[in-house]
Amino acid sequence: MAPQGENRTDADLTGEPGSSLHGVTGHEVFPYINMDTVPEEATDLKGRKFSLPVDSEHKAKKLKIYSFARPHMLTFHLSWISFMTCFFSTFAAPPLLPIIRDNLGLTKTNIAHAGVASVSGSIISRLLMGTICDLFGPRYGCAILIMATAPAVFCMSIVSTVDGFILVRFFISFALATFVSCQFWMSSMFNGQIVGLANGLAAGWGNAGGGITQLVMPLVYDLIAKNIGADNFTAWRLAFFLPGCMHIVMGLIVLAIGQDLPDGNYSSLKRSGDKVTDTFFKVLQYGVTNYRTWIFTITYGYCLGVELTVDNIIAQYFYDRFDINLTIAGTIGSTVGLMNIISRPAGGMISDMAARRFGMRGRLWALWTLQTIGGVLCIGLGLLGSLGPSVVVLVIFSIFMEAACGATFGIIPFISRRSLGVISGAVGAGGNVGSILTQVLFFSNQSYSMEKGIMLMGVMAIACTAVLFLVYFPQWGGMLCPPSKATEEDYYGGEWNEAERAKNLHRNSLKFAENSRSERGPSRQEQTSDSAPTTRV
Amino acid sequence: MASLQRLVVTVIMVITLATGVRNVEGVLFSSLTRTLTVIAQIQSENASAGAATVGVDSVSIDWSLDSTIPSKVGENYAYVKLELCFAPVSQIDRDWRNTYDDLDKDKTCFRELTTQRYRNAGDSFVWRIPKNVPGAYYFVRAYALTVTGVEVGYGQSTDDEKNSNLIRIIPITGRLRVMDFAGILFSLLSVVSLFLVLAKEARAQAFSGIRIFPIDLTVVPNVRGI
Repeated sequence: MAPQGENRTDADLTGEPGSSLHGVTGHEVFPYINMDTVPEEATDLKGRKFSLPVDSEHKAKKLKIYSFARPHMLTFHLSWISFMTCFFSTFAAPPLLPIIRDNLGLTKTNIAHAGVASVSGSIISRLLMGTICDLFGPRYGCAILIMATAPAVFCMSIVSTVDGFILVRFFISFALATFVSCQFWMSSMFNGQIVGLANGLAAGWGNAGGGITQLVMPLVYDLIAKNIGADNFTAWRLAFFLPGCMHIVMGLIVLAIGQDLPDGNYSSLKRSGDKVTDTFFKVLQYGVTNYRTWIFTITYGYCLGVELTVDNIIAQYFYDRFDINLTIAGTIGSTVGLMNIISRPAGGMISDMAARRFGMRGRLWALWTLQTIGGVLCIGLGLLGSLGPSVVVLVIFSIFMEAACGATFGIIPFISRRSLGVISGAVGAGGNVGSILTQVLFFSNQSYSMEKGIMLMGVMAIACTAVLFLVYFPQWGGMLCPPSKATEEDYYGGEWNEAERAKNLHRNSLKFAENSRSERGPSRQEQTSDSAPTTRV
Repeated sequence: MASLQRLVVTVIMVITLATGVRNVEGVLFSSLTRTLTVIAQIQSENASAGAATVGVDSVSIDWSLDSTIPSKVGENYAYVKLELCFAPVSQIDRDWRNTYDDLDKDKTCFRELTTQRYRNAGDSFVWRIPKNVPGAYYFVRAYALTVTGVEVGYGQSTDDEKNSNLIRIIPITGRLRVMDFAGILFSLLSVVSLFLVLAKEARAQAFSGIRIFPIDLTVVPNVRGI
């Protein structure tokens, strides 16, 4: 049996509550980072050499974006492409709404309800997906979800009633849970030093699917309606065969060439050493009673939530307000999602840079600034009446909002060590809830025009971001208050009660506390911290 | 950070002010006088249905100068533009069909049918309804245009409240039976191929003894005391 408490591997923690979300945040410094590099002759179980440097668990320590080498880089690409496919199909309807609303006789209220439905399904499915990944592995989780939601995408071609449309958008949105399998898969393949960057890129590139769809779907519709000559009400239905087939193809590819672990598709439950088992209710308790969880749920709701809402409404907004054709409206709308490719990872990097200079207080200020600027630009977008400036403001607004999404996940790892999974899940769900709330309040109301709705969304984003001022870490301070004499060990150890501490169950938290001293900022560092990973999700 | 924020807000304000300069407004509908009489009727084999089906039926439109208007007014008119417009019942809760007084912004009349030369005695037009017309209640409006194309008068096939003599158009669903079958087929393909692959891998696990499923489905739990 491995020595107690040392060299704990990820495999030991599989199955623990929330372990499927470990790796989402990428700040698992120690003991999840395995610092030993095996010599170059490392081979997998079939005797093939790995093309990337790996640690002793065969997880890659480097990311080579242009490579498709098995297993690590292939996993990276399979995982972000399947996540992108799911975003593609979830937001495939909005750019075609000007045609769909005439075909099905939709009213503004119907469209808003459909928009709400399109972000609600994923709340449920993300929770289930965590369990599925824990039990069956990310390869099956991803493939099962993506192939099981393909029928819902094909049903979009068949709907002829308002309720049918809303239901289909609800069921398609279940596919957004591939976020969880994507992140879980990355953390099985990439070492803790690089997993933050890998997760950030994969999440950003996957989110960009919401932008790609706004570009591609009107083009496909045009191709079918004009070149093939189908009636317009038939053409949009045919266009939905594209995302449907993408689902089937990606699902089969993932099953055919994907693998769960660097060493193959083996069960990941090799337990060694004595593992610290935790109970679900304790983890839930400490997650729920930490007020910071709820603050970040609210702020993420007005960061990712705004992005999802804008994905749903923007093509229709430009089509109606500025009288441009469907393809151009879709192209403009796609810029929102496409900015994700760079801005989400960039947000994480900005958070890291702020942390290097000012510690956790810097991270909080960076997040507040990015999100508030995004809110101001959103107000501007609602106020502008001409096309050119609107497009410029839209692009800059999406850069700031998505950077704020990336920066949020720079702070999440530090809220709690024990309940990391629950908090990540709650914050992720908060994003969807924010989108639901925004669409219900501002876009389904007859008294608000769409431009007024956008303006009010910006106002609410600024207001909800202001709650960040209430966040206070005793060991690091808050935005306005300096830190107290408390230490990181007090904070993270405080999540365990006396009985548990007596049994030394909190040793992982203590190790994490030691490594999180980097969040004090350079002026308070007593010792140079031991290479805390600086890449963020 | 604060100065950057101030800069951004200033830029926004400048942009907003710059675009606040409005374009020259179009003609206002309230400034037009109702001078034309328009009669629109459905031409359908299925006349008793009271509605027109796209692709099959037509709408015949007759317009002329209103008999109460002196014909001197008609000297100003050069063309007559016929448009299909949404009735208020089809505009409810649909902002993209809203009525605005400024004719450049107005979304009530979404489809231009034809433009004919003006004649005092009037003219007629038969419009074969194409398949891309949405299902709704409509009326026909005729704008009298000057030589330069500016609207100076109008007439419509309904009353001022736009509630009578409405034309109901029945649209296509857009669904094709072939497409329905293809959709069902592809869905089945997805689900069935998923099951086949999972079954194949489960069988491979049972045969080779290598655990692929993390849960060993072949082992019966050891239940004591029973």
